[in-house]
Amino acid sequence: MNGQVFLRAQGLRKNYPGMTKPAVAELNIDLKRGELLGLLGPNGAGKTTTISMLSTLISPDSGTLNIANIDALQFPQRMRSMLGVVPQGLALYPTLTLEENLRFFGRLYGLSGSILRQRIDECSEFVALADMLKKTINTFSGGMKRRANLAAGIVHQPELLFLDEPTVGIDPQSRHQILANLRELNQQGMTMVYTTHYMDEVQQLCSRVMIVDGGTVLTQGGVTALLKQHKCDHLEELFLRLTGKQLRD
Amino acid sequence: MIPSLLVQTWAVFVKELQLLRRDRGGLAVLFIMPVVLVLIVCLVQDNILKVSGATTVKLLLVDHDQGALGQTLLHQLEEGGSFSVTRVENEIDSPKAQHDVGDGIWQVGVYLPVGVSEELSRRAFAQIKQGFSELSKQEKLSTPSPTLTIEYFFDPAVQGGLQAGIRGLLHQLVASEALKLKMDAFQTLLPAQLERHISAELGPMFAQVLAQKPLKLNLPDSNEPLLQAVLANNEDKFTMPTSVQHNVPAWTLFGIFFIILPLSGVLLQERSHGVLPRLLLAPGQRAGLLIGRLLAYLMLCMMQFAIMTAVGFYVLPRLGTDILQIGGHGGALFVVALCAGLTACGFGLLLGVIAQSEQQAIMTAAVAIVISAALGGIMVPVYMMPAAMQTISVISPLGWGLDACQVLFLRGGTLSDIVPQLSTMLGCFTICLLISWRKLRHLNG
Repeated sequence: MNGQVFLRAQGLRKNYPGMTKPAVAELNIDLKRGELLGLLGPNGAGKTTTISMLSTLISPDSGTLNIANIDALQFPQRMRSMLGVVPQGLALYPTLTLEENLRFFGRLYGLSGSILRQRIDECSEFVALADMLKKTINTFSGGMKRRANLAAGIVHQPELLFLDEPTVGIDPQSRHQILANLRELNQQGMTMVYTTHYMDEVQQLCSRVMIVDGGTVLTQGGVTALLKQHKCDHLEELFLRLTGKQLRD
Repeated sequence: MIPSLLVQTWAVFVKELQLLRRDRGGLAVLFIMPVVLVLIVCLVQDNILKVSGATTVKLLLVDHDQGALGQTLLHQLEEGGSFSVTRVENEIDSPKAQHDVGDGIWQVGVYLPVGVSEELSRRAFAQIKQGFSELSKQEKLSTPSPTLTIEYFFDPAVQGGLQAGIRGLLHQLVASEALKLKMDAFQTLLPAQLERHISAELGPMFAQVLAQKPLKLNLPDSNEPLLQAVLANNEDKFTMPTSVQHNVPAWTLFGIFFIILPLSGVLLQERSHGVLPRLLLAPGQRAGLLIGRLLAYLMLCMMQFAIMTAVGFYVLPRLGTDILQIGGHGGALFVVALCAGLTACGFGLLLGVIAQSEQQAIMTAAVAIVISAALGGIMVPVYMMPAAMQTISVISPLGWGLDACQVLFLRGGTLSDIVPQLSTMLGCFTICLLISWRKLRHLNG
């Protein structure tokens, strides 16, 4: 199945009320099954809006979106069970245990009984939190919370996973663990869209990268090809050359 | 796999209960606070109602006389059921009785001095006899003696209206007793007076005839009134407002509306922690997310209702108050609690999507509930408020619920009588729900 276009977005545009410029303008993406796309951009570049539109959380003002040959804008419910999200925030209930969180999100996706039990065990083991299932999230460290967040995003075994800066603010060990997890999931065939500010992560992980700013795509392609094309030594140099060095607060 | 509405509803329902189970502060606010409030306020107001006459008045009758007057007063006062009379004879004197009443042991005291019954009877007889004497111009007027008195005294805490009522009743009882004695004297003296009069005017022969067939008077018992003012309200249908009848539903509603706090708190937590996008991206109908949540919080509201009702039934009577009387309105009361719960949940949802932080939501909810409670008559019944405040009170959601309870408890209403209040609550819930839903969609673009 790999190699087929799994997600196709054409002319996606989103304008928030009261804003003079669109958050995303004319976004075109073709994402193949099994691909891991790195979405890079400075703060306010439109990354989160892009992910929100691609995951059908928000509706674009114009454009089309097809996921697994389904018109995702017209029939979002038909393909939501194959989507997973790991949002930028914690996205878990801090006063519930990890098991209760995973059970809740699993149930929301229709899992039950032994299958749900199995998935809870697998996911907690996958993110190295099997011995923390009975602990409440608010007792977790920052890195554990991020790993728990990933576990909640994959408990229903999505085919397409959106990750919005999943490693922000954690120690190198947890970051290493999460990256290893993502690589493994990708090798198992999971398609991913990954946003981050860490260029090294993208360089390690992603088969393709897209740099956006001001709501438009500045460039996209394989990491090596892009570096060669723009005559840059590393991704950060390319990123700064395309987006500028002025501060984005 | 797209889960069914039932599955999603169940998932959210369980999750909400798990969240609430861990929120000990929230549970204390929902369950302990209203119970403590209803206990304190009922006991405090029970005393207030006693001094305002809404409950039985405790009366001390110091009967040094031990004659007919004391017996008559005791019988008349106890007959109406409004007084709980303690009769003592020589155990205490008037100053001691006044002291005890002043200390609030009794609310009213009545002192009958030695020989008052006998003297009253004597004077009634003398008055009638004197009347006949004036009529016949044969007997001299006796020297008027000082007016015979009995004393009564009040606990200073007894309110003016109640004092006036008791004063009027005592004056009426005393006047009635005096009249009765006069009638007895009249009945006794009239034949002899008539005989004397006929003898004087028509001669002794006529008097002898009259003596053979003496005049027999069978005046009706003066206790049988010719005219009586009767209470038109049906006693079976209307109930006096007691502190329990007012406070149990009032503070139950107050507690129910505190559901706004945890409900809005969870929503704000979901918004601030990024859970909301994850929820909204779940497959299936979003209604499940809403229904499950509403069911969980409604269940809590009904648990509050059950606990508070049990307090009214079992706890408060043991502490000396009246028992909560639901009558046949249990089902209707349940519907009121359900609608109040829905209204509170509607406000909770609305606050959860409008507020910018949990702190803001807590402050807003607490202030809004207390103001709404004050306006709605939870603390002071609406009918006791000034006219302007009574007009404003119609905006209080707690007032709608309490009004429905009062229609059921005090005015003998049925479910059909409280349809306007229930409709208002359901309408408010619907509006809150629609605004929340719209705002929620807006929050996510």
